[in-house]
Amino acid sequence: MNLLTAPLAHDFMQQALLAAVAIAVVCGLLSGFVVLRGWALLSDAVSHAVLPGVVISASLGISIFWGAALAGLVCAFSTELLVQRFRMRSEAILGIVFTSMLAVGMLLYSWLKPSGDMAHILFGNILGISPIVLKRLLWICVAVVCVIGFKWRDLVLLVFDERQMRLLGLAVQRWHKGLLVLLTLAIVVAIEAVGVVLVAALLVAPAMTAQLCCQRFAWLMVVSVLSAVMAAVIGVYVSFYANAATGACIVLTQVGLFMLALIYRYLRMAHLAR
Amino acid sequence: MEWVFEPLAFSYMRNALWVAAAVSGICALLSVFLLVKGWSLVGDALSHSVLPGVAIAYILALPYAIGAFFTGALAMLAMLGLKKLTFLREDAVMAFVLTGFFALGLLLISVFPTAINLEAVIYGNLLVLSGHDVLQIAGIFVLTVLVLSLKWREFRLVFFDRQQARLMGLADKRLLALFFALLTIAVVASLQVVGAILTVALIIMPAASAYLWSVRFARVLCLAFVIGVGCAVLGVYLSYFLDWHSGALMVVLQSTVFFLSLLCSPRQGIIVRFLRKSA
Repeated sequence: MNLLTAPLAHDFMQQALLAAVAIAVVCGLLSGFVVLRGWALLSDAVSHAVLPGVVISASLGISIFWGAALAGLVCAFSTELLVQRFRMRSEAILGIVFTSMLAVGMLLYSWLKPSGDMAHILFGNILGISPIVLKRLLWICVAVVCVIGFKWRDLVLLVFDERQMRLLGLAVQRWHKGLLVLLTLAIVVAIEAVGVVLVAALLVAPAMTAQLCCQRFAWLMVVSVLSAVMAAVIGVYVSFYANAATGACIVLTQVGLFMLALIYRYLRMAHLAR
Repeated sequence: MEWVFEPLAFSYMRNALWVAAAVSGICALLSVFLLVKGWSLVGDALSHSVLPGVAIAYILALPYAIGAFFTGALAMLAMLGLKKLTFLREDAVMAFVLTGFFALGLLLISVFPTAINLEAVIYGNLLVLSGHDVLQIAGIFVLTVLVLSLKWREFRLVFFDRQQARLMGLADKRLLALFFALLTIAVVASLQVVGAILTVALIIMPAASAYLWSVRFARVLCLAFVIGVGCAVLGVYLSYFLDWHSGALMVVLQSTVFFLSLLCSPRQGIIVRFLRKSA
């Protein structure tokens, strides 16, 4: 038991654990929508595209959240616009937009030379998470839980049957965009914890694991949140004891859970076939 | 006028120019095929998944290209394997494999802090190429250009119409395997030039710009090659004077070319559309 409680004696570990669980709840809830609406690569792109915003706000001396959120929204919505206007492969457009923004961010970085450690943006810094960031994270967590909780039926319709939604007279586009904004905000807060590259994993892996275990969307959400939270807690503990990068540990725990789900699925299929 | 040729006086700048041009040229050629299939972001997955290979190679003191190639190929297999579970979405599988491998790489680096220079892998570093690196990339360039110039018609058929290719008796699986081997090698080479994160730009942008100007495949291939090489040379050259990151500069130049093409393209350009609408 000591093994479990010892890390909690440290203040930074309590905060890191709280932050990791909050991120897991946000990302676990959103990941159902990300995977089923085909936003996996979009979330990867948005997470990379925040760099120019981060650099500019760091050199202006304001909180990097605002710049990052703005840049993320620019990426998400300019991709939407280009895909709608030009008949081109959406993943190519996505790749072009996010790599351009990334490169611009790198140039701005070498031009403005802002103070502050950019490695934290790339790899995250959940152990040194500041109280302000944590508070913002908790607010976004509450917002995501409320929106999904209160508007569950509309969102399920958005995922599975857009036409029906339109027939019912609901504003499909508004929901689509609203969800996109929520996703971008979630990505931006998660970046401060696990870093640019691994955010996409947190948004994709939980729902993929859940897809292997269950058929109903409601259960999928439950399993995906549970697996995300479990991976977050295990990952933080493992990284404490192994002295390893926390973000990487969380993501690899999720990969492990996915493998377990894969094995479970095969066993059940074999059982059903018999 | 002397300052124009000033960068060429340094051997490291000459090396950087050659290598950047070669790598971005072969990436441009491969990008034309990938865009046809909508596989552009496979390059993204590959470039991230080589990280654990690089880390392992550093730990075992092997040449890093071997490790990178190994985990890159492993990631391709993982994606193909997970795709067999057809109900999982392709894009989700790709993002999952990509981030999983990258996380493994980060974990290895954080647990075994070796002499590995993470920054060099992620951002690339053109200015510290050894003679050995240059030879290696020259070899890769010759090999890729040779294979593509002999086989581009077969590749084109497989990428546009696999059914037809199979009917004509082409070994489509073997051709695809050959193509992805070339792609993996190109990605490993471009790690050194622009780094892991921007590699994907070299595998998307030249083709995306070139397709805006022509629909003839051979012409698109040539145009993409010219765009890739031109932006690489100009980017490295400018980076000498501006003292900016050369990889980022190359990518920004390429995206400038893309957005200019979007503006001026003869068929679906913004200007043409505007004229059509007002006419």
